[in-house]
Amino acid sequence: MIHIENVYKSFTLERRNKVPAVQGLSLSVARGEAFGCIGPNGAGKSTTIKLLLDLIRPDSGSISINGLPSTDQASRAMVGYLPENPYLYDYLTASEYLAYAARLSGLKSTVMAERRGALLERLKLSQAAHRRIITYSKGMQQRTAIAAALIHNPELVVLDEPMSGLDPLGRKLIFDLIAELKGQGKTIFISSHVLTDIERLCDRVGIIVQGHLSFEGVVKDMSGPLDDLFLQVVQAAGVGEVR
Amino acid sequence: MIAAVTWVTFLEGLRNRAVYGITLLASLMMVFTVLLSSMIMQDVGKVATDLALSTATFAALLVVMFVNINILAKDLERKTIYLALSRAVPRSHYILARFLGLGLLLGLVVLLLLCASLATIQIVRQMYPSYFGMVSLWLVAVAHLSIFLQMLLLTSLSMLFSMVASSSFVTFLLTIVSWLIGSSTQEVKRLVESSELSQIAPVTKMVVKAAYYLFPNLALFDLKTNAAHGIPIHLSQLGFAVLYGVGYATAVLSLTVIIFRRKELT
Repeated sequence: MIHIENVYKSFTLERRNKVPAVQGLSLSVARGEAFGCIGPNGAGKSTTIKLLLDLIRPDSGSISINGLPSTDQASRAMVGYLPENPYLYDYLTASEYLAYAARLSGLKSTVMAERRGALLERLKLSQAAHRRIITYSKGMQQRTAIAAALIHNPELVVLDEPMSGLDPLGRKLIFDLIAELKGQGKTIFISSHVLTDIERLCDRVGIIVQGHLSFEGVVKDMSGPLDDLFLQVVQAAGVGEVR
Repeated sequence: MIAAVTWVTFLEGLRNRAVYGITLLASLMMVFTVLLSSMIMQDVGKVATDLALSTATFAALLVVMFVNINILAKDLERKTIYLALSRAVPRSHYILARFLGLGLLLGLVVLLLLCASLATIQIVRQMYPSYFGMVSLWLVAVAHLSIFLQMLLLTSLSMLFSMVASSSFVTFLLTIVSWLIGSSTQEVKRLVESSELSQIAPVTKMVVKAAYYLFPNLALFDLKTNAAHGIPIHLSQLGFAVLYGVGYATAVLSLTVIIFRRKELT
């Protein structure tokens, strides 16, 4: 489903200094697989996701979704994306925002209404559905953004820090929802710092350190907790500085 | 897809508090026009029409500067754009839809301003029928259409600037400078080319000439004098202004799309 092949990406900062964000990254995610992408802050996880969705372009290497190059917008037809710290349109209500998200994917009105109602109910947003998003708490905004990512029933779900800003109830809600998506056979790509969730939800995990894929493995084959493995990999890569 | 982005842009603009503030300001200026008319002894109609059209231009300009630019800036700065671009929405369609949405908002604002202008002129006519003179309401309506075109053109320029500017403030500055140059470039070109001012340096003449061709000639859309003095507007003059506006905006939007396709949305 996802193929990332030897991708390099650097950003130009002040005084034309180039900072490498992703360096020779290669990874694949099979259809129906849940892949957890973890790494320290600034490791290149969000950059990898943005490269995957063609929001930014690689310096070199190739990326494809479902056999189509990521530069082809058709590759994103069945992708649902939750950005890290999503900002929504303040002046819209959740109901209008989801209708907008659905129309972007060409959903028919009847299907859209059905999916919207179900997601609002599922994410406990029904009562606030006609209130403007500007009045929502951080957790409600996060849940609205997740609903928008799923409104068109995507085959590939890309979630960047899905638990960010959620209280324990919200986290359980989203955890159960992701588990349900996995059960439905969706392909899931999650970037998260909540390693216990990654361990429980994902089939495979990749640890990115300084733009490299430093470790890749099947979760059920791991001998110890993911936290320990994560620390080992990060320390072995020689990352001392917290970014 | 285009309809969805257009509609959301329109809604976002319509629910922006700045629109209500601008509407209130325009209403107060229209009331001021009525009050000022009582202090004028002749050609009241001309003064009322001129003031009403100036108010409409100013209010529409404020919408471009404080609503349209803000919507585009927030889209890029707060990454609300991610929702659409992470789907199968071509970037060119997104730009077009944003432009159409902002155009729809401007259309509604200018329509309201037209109603306010016509009401103001009619009130003044009723109050001072003897001093009113001849004012064509048809020309007033055409002048509003012209304001709409002028602001659409300016909106397309603000979209281009938002692609290259580092912040919304820079976009604001570039847009306002374009408006100031675009509004005066025709007059300045005429002035430097006139024989009376032959002592002007050739470099200055070249700069003025370059600015005249580079910046939009917004004076083409200023029909205040025609409306206030009842000077008929020839269909060819209006047609040229429409074609010029559409052509210039199309060129600017095409350039915006080219830059936006290459833009990295970090």
